Amino acid sequence: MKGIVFTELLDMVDELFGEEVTEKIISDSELSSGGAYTAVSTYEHAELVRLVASLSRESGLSPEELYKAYGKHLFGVFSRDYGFLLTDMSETFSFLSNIEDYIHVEVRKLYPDAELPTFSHSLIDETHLELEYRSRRAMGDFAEGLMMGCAEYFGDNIVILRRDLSNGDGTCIQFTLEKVL
Amino acid sequence: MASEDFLRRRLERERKARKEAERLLEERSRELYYINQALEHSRDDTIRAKVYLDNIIASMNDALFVLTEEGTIKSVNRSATQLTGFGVGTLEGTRMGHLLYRSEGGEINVQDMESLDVDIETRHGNVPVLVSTAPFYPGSGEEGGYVCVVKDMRERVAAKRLETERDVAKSENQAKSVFLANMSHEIRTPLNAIIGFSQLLQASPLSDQEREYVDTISQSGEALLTLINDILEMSKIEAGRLELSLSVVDLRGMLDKLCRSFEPQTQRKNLQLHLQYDSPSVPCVQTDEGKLRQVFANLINNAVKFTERGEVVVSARIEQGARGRATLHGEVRDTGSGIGEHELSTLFEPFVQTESGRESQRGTGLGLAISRNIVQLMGGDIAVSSTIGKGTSFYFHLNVEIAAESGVERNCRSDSTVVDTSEYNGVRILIVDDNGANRLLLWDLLEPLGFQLHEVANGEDAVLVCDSWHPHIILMDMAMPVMDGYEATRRIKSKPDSRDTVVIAVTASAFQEDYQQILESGVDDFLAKPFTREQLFETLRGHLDETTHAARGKRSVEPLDAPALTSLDEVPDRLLDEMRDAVKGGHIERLTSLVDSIRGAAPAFASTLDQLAKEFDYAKMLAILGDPDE
Repeated sequence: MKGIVFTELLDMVDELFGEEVTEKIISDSELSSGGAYTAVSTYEHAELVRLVASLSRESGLSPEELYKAYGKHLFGVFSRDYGFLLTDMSETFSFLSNIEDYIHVEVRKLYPDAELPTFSHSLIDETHLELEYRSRRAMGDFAEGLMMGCAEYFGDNIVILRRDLSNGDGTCIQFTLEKVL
Repeated sequence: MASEDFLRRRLERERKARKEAERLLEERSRELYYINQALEHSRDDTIRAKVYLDNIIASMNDALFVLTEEGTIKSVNRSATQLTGFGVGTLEGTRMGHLLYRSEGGEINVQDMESLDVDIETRHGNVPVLVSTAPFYPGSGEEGGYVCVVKDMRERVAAKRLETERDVAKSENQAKSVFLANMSHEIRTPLNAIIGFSQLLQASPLSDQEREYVDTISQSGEALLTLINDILEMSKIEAGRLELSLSVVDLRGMLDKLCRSFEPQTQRKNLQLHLQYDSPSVPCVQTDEGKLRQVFANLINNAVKFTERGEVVVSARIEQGARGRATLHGEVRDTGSGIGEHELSTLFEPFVQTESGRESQRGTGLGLAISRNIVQLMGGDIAVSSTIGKGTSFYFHLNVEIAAESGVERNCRSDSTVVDTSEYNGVRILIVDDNGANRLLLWDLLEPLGFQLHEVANGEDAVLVCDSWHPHIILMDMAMPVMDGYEATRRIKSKPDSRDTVVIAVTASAFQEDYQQILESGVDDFLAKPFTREQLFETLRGHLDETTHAARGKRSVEPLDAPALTSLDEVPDRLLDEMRDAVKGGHIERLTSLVDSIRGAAPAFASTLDQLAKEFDYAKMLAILGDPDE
């Protein structure tokens, strides 16, 4: 997992829960990296899981809630730091339809070795979009958070429904997004 | 405390993260560097490949046109601009079909340009070319099209035309030669009659006016004969039918005699004629004597003709090679008026004469061409160098063989007739001629054979010497001052002591001689000038047998079954009649066959007749044949 996921998470923890909490979860998580993350490097996904688990213990929020919140927060960060990726997009559905063909292509320019989930989409009608998420890391909640962040950015009111297509391990999820006008 | 601790830990983490980031950056930079290198190499390779290809295309002799699928010119190579004379800008964008022209007309489609013999338009007119077109598929997403190679065919076309012209010229030439050969035979027959009968006329009594007319007819006939012979020679040369007849030749002797024959002319013009013979160790060579003499004679003739003062130098040198082969270097140099440079190059062409040659209105213009052909036939070549006002030098070289054996040497000195000189020691021959050159000629011919010789310059001295020295044979010139040959002969024959002296009249083959007069004066034989060595010896031999070996009796040189006929008496009358008729009618072929019929029995007589026939000396022939009218 790219370092940026870790660095932004810790920044968010700093912001939302305070620096001490950040310190606590780092020391609680027994990280081989020691919690010294740089955005441009790559670290084990397991460290993220531990950090979120530790944060869940500290904050009392469930890991699912934390992943969703983080996803939403991260979209905001992306929209600020990589605004140029969004300039041609006018609304949520068009952005989400282009994750695979555009966003992830750009991501790989920066981070050629990034392991990214794959999305396939089908636009049912103007108000309904189906996105199929596949990833070994089964971070469906995180993905949902990013989608919510995206909707908020474009100012769209989206209802997200999800269905696990992968026999419960979360590695393949069908999201159905409904735009509420 | 806790916060310090806390800060410290955070700072530590930050520092560690930074270090990690820097490390990654360096790694990435290095990666970039290598990627860059690879890119540059790849780019250099590409450039090199492109330059290589460009050079190939630019170096092509043939014009290259890259066409679009529709046949429009997309790009061209340098040869294309050179061939057409149009610039790149003009050619690109033009339809290829617009540049090509077929004799049938109409624009040519690019699909039909696979292999074409057409003309291409150029700035300087249309040029024949060979067009070869093939489609190409770039395979890289670029548009395909056609590759069109255009080959300039001008040289090939010109060469073909030249070849055809040459073939035509050759066959025309051959046809001409055949025609000439046939014609010259047809022309000769009546020409024989003209010459023969004018000679007869000259021998008959004529008024001065008539004699003048007849002389003109005779000279014109002779000139015409020379021309016909030259033309026939040329046509033989062109038809490649000239053959060499080799024999052993006394080169020095031949040249000596040849030079002497020009003495009348050189004396008249007050010129010096020198012979430089530079191979004393090689007296004899094997070559074609007649042709060699012809070449020298032609060159000397020209030199004498075109030199008004000074000298003509004839030189010959044998350069020995390996295995009996040698090169004869001949040169004829004069101090004449010279030949202009513009004329030198065409000098050896047939029917070309120099300006002065044309002015003198003599010669056929074939002499040098024939000479060159002969020289080349004999393995050599001829050239000329000249300076106006200073003189000219014709020089040639040709192949000969050295005749090395001693027996052969002797042969060449005595012209293939074996002469045992010991037999002739003690034979005295008196040479009588008012012309020193003539005397010298006879002397040089006879002295090597061991004869004892004496010479006088007029008839009176001849009679005196005859009394005192008692020659066995007298070679008597008939026209001399003080006392001529006739009178001398009459006197000698009238004395009992000298009655048996053999008197051989040596007469010019000019036509003023009165043959009747000769015979009546009592001579035993005659020898016509200009005579060959063989003729001299034949004539002498007949009488030598009488003189030196009475016991041997008369016989001819070759042992024969039939008795030798040395006098008219032994030739059947019928045969003589027929020969006379043949001569009078100008029927040379008939005469030749008649002479052939007695050749075996009377070779000397036959050869005398041959020689006379060759010279068209019909008067003499009739005299010999005992014409009752003479």
